[in-house]
Amino acid sequence: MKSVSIAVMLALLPLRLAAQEPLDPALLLKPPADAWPTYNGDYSGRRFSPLTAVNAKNIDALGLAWAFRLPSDNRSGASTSIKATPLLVHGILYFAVPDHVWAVDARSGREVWHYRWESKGGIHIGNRGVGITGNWLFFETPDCHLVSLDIRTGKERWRQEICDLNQYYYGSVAPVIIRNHVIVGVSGDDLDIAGYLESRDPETGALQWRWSVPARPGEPGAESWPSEDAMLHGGGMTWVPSTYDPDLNLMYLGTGNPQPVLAGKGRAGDNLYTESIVALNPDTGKLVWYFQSSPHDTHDWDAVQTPVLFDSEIDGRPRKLLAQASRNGYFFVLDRATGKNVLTKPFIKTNWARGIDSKGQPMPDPAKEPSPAGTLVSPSSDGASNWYPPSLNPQTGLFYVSTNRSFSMFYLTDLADKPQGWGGNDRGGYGESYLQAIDYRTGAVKWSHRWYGRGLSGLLSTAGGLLFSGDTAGHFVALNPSTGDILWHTGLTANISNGPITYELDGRQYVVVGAGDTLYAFWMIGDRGESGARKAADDRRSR
Amino acid sequence: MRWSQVISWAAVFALTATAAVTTRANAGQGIGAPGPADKPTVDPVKAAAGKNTFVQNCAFCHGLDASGGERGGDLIRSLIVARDRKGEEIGKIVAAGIPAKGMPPFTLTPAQIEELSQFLHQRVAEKASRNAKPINIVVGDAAAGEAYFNGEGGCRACHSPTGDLAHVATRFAPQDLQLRMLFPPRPGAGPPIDSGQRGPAPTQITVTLPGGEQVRGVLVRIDDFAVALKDANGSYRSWTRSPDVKVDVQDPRAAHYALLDKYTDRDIQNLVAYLETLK
Repeated sequence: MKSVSIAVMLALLPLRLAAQEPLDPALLLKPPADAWPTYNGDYSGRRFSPLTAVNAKNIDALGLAWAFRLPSDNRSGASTSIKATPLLVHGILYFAVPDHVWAVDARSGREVWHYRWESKGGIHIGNRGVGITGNWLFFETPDCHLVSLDIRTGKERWRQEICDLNQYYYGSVAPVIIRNHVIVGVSGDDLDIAGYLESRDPETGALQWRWSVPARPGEPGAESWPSEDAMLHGGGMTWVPSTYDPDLNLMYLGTGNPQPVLAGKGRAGDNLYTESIVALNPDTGKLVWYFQSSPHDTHDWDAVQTPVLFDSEIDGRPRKLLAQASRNGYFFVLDRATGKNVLTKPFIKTNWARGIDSKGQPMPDPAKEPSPAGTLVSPSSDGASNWYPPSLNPQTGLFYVSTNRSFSMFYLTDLADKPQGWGGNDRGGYGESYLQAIDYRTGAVKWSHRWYGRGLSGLLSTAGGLLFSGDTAGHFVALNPSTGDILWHTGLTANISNGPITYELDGRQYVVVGAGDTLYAFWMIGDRGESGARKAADDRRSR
Repeated sequence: MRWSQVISWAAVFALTATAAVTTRANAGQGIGAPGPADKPTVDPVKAAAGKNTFVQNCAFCHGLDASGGERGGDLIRSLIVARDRKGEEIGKIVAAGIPAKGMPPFTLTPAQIEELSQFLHQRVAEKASRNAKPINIVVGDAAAGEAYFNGEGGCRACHSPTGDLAHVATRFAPQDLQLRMLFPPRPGAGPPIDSGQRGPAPTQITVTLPGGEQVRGVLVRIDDFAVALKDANGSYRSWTRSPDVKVDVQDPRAAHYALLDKYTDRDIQNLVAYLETLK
């Protein structure tokens, strides 16, 4: 009997391994229900799922399927908060925290493999995930490497240095794959360095192109800096994944804050292309257009927030659009073919801008720059929004963003003509946290839910009439996306720390979310859930 | 750019208080800090000696603060300094000079090179730090601050310069005083309530149950789904939130938070100048 079962297991083994198949790059263009093949689920950045098996009518039965807690021996010295959005490829979830990558069975939550990187340093604040194409996985390390692994084994394939650790750069962003380009960015805000975006060859890791965020001397945009020296040390990190429109063949990147971070005296001007939404050709790395969310920022308000792509009618005309709820508190809608501003509206009250200019860009109030005695500014440096993924729901016409209304005192401490490093700091304060639902045709906040504490969360909305978010007290919450009414919640061991995802396997819909050191998967409990899921699957097949 | 998530899910109402005293410190050396894990720790004695060497030999071209001058490059942002650990890279340049750029060679002992290196690494660390202290925040008009305190600010409703605020300027440094005024700490950040020291005043809450019974106490925790308090007997009690369970939170700091939308920066400067007179 025993030998029979072993024989059966051995017979099944090749099938089990065969399940770990390569990712067909075509899936990146139109992901099926059983895949989450790129950071945002698809290239649009909407984080809207068409799945309906879990829906507003049956969500009472949503319960825990499994939990995967990071092993405790991997916690020393590194942030092990799961900020990565896991990728789902052929039934396996792939995600990272700094220096570690896991492959986990999406049905059971069991580890398939684990890869550990020996670190030479760097800021270990977070890793936002991996990129995959074919059998190859790509991730960044805090000590400035891009590493490729074989998804079947977790074995290292190659490593390439993508930045200089000695200059205090570090790696954190999830690579995005566009055809034969692995798009990677860099982080680092301590020593006046220039941010850039790179494309690397998926086979070898060789550099294909590099785009500098600060304009290069002699090129357009250079006039927005006072000197070559200021440009070469001008900041603009690239630490949130880009979105991509295959029809226009344009990728959209939000860029980080200029440097020195809080002291702007040595970098008079708009400081292009920091704190901008830029459209790049992914084959050449050439800039096609830009829009600057925060000209000449002095508050650390990286405009890296996901540029979300969507199509909608504006004034009766169908438009290809892009929306960003920026860290500075403003919601922007742009024409994504041209970069022309369609609307600019605050999504939370702030106190730093004098108004909106003719290009739709907020104009900073010089009186709200950091000062030696302190300047009271809202939002604080953490911003009105941050890197947490927002969600855009075409059924409700709403853009959802996790928001802080916060205040802090900004101090200028480096009064030199050429300040260096941060040149100041901000301290404080007070903060209120909200889930904001913004009408993307008008920019008006249609509904707002205030949480009791302070914190931000990644978001996901679904065609099942659900909006998933964390609160600030360790709960995972589902709301009615039209009204903001709370429909369901469950208490976890930490606040939601990434963007939730959803997928369907074997006729059952899963919702997966990271909270601190644990990845949680939910599904419909009992007969009601299973039959509901099967019915939904049958319905889809019969359509 | 680094974003520290200032959250404590276990003690929601302690948040603002902890944030008020949060320093976004660099973690120091090793894994997790900016830059390579093997970057040198700075010995202040050696760095001070290195500063003397720097002032005598280098400052004329590179500037007193090593940020560069008309003749010499910026050493804070120097790649050579970034790659140096204990003088091995800096020493090469010092010994050979850079004739093409007009830098002559210098004859320094290995100990002097190491000290010079320590000074430069100290300067880099200072510039990369996010913890510099404000230069001077007592720049306001104390009389105008007193007028705001007694008038527009509404501060007199709760505070008195001869009562709770007597000698307040002797208890806190100016920046602490400024931040505590703007963002008063919530319970959880100050001394424990039983310690005998003056801690943040508790947030009070009244819970009205479906039958009309009212329970008052000190707020322990509240979110969309549950509320907990300590009642007058010190007992912990909690309820599931529902439309039938009414809660009324009374935070004694609410007036401070409301002022955040009203203060001008000059008002803040004047108030701090006034509070500084309460020695």
